[in-house]
Amino acid sequence: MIPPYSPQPGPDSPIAAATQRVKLSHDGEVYDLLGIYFVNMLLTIVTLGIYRFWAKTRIRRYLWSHTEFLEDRFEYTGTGKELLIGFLIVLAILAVTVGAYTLIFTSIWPGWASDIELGILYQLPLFIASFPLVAIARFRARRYRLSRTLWRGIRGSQSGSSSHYGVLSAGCWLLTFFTLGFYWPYMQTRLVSYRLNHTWFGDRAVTFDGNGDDLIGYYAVCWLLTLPTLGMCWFWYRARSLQYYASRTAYATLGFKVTITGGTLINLISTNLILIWFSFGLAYPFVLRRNASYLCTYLSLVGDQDFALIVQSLKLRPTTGEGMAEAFDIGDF
Amino acid sequence: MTGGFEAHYSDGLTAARVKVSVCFGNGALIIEPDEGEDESRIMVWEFLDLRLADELRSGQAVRLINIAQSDARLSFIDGRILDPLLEKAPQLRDPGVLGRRPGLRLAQWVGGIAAVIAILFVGLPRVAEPVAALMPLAWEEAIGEQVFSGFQGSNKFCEASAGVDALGRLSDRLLTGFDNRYNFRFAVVDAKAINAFAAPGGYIVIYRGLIDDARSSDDVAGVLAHEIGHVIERHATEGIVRATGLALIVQLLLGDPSGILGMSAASGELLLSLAYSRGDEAEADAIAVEMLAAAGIDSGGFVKFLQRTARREEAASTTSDEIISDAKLNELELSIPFLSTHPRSAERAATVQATGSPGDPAMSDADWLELQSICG
Repeated sequence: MIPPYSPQPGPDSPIAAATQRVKLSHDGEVYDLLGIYFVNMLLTIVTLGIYRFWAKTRIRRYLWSHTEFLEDRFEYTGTGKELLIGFLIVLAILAVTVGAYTLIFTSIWPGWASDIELGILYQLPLFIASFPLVAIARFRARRYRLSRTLWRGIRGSQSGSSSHYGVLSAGCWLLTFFTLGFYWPYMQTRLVSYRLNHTWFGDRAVTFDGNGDDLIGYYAVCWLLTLPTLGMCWFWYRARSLQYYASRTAYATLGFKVTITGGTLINLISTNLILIWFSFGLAYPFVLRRNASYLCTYLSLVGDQDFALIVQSLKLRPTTGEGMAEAFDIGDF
Repeated sequence: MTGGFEAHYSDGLTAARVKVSVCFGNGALIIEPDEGEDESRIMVWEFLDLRLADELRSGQAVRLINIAQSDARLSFIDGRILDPLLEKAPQLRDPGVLGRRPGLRLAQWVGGIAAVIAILFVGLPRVAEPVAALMPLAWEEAIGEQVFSGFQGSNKFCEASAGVDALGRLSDRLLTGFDNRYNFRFAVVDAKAINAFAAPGGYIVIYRGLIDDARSSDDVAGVLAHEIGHVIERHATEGIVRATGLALIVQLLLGDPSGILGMSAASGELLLSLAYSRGDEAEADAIAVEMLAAAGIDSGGFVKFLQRTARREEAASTTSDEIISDAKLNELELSIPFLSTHPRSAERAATVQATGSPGDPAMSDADWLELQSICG
């Protein structure tokens, strides 16, 4: 037998430089996705729903595997088991806390179930708690997905604290509420900022320095145009804000450029909705494919980067996946 | 080196990649950097350590993982290496990520589903009893209160004060000297069904139909004592624990635990549909017999009530008219709830007859009249 070679960190490789402006590309076949999707549906039904964690994993593996950057495909290394365990943990925590809350509430106000006002009083804390909890769930799901996303064998990761993100999100919602919605662009920007500034690939973090000040003008104009354009201007606002966010984002020596416009966004979203509605959800693989292509068409990275300088991160990774997002049914592909 | 398969190699330590050519060696892939690269770094990946990074699809470029060097990737330009590679490293045919055998995976799935079914039908009923036994009184009362008030919301309760007082005297008589931790509350609901049920924590609801159907106050006393028995033995509490566990598992399977929130509110309806087991009914009957004897009430009324119920059951199952000797049995439909939750009444009647004892009427004639007109 030949002894296995143990690799050493090599010198910088001259070939590892990016070109000026690079797009992602996606070469998934919608028929492959349809095949995976229907097998998934069948197995999910047969297993009374438990297979859905593996189903989601298979779809992700396919999508990641068929998305390419600089001739190298992404890779998804998550497993259905991790998703299932994450879900079970959160389910247990939720059942215990909500159960305890219900019992305490019932011992203070017995018979609340038949009283409308007490019923609202019961729901209110749950409703309020759902704002930070949904944000926390999304943040944690993102951490899991990044940690299972590889390119050239190098992992993504997310630092930061999900509870901090939850509090930030809830506080921003409160400000948005009290400013009659005018804090919205600031909220969006602050949340994007927290997410992006805690996003890593290898040992380098993404940086973002956007500010809601730069969007509030568009936002105000969009409010004025809402009636005359029957709300269509909000697609334009969304496109504008995505362009702005990309322009303020950097990774190592790479910048980002998004060329999404309101028109293409209307086209994407309305066609997706029609596909889903008229197929009763069966056309979902087409929507996945369309979204991937859309991203690849309108997102590009600008600049040169010597990828030999980007080193694998040794940060700890979450061992279970997305439990909260699963529990709140907001986990998406 | 020429003649090898073209590929890109990333060592998993940095995001750089080098062009390599790969050929088959003895028990391993030999990976050699191309000219211009650092040519000293020839690598050897053993066939046994190889895994596919992607699901295998025809025409797709092959990308390999080496489990001895888990972050490194070897990405071939195309899929040409696949066929010779599959011969050398047959474990790659397994679509599973880490090369577990498909048979093992299937067995795990089948085992998992069998475990879920076993939990539902074997584990849950066994767990319910100890859980209910551990429940503090305050919890039981909280659940009972919720069931009771939920039921109150959709039904009219009979509250003629003379009738309520008469019912109170009957229940006092039954409970005197019967040590238990519950603070019982009795109510009559204005509904025609011949039915009664007990909610956890001492809430007992009697249907007007049951009082109408009774030939004497002894019948009602027997049913009341029986329901008190269910409370003391915590059968309803066990039922709710079982149903909650079941709902939890169903939510888990369907993936929507937020539905648990709404569950407690629905437990009143649920209690009505709970079927007690044969053992539960026997336990409650035994307590009823004991209670009637202690209070000096004739258990014959309860026996007759059970016999009437048995005839209704038979009539419901055979729908033969001749068996229905009593005019009141025409309203068969109305007695269905009682039938469905209190099965095997003939057997029960025989047991109560054998163990019961004679005694006085349960109520004075005046009280019995008041109870009969409790709904006005």
